[in-house]
Amino acid sequence: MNAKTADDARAPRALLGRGRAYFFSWLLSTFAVVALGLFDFSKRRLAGQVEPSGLFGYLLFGAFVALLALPALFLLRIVPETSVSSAVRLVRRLFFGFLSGLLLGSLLAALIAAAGKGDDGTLQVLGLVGPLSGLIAGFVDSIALDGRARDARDADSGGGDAPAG
Amino acid sequence: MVEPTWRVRLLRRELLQAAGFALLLALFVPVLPRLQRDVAPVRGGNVALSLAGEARDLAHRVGAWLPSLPEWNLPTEPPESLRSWLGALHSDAR
Repeated sequence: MNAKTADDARAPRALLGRGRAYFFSWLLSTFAVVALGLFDFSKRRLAGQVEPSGLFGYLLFGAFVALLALPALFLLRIVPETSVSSAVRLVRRLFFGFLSGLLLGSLLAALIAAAGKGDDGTLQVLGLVGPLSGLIAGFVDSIALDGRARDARDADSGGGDAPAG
Repeated sequence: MVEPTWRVRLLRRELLQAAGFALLLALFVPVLPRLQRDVAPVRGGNVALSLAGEARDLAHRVGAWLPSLPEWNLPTEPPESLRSWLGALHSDAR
């Protein structure tokens, strides 16, 4: 295996294609929400307030709420990115991701409140998970953009490999 | 039959995705409040409030620790707990 092939094997484009970026955004958001839930579970378990089966509830709730990262990434990808600098791209993606997550969280909170179904906890958790999932979507999209930029650079430098979208 | 251009195909795909995500958001409205009630770890509790409280605690802890970071520097002396141990290590009575 030559060096070029080894580099190709590690290429972010294979890792973060169009669909996989959505999957990783959801997965990492799930990690974040479930991690907060597990701390809470541990505290409550030590205080004897919760049964061990309560753990499943945290996992289920975290995995469902983290789905908010998917529309956040979709909204984020509407904003074009033109910078050649990876750091600038990262900062911009994080900012726009935060904005789109904030918008989605507040939109959902407003819809749930208008339907008369939510309570204070719903609003609080949406205010937390919305921007958080937007930030995570920003990170993931930044990685995907780095991969595309590297592909384009490789193609320009005469490698002849067609960049993958 | 004329094949649609790539712009039309792209627009269709984006519109389909947008419709799918709008449906997902619409699904959140009835499911989220029900889920947070049903999977509450304690009776009469609320998993969302627990999560939000946990995040708030974490933010407070980081918020209290972060401003003191610039004032931190390496200690010039060993801490009290190590002093006796280091003293024993360097004493002639070993």
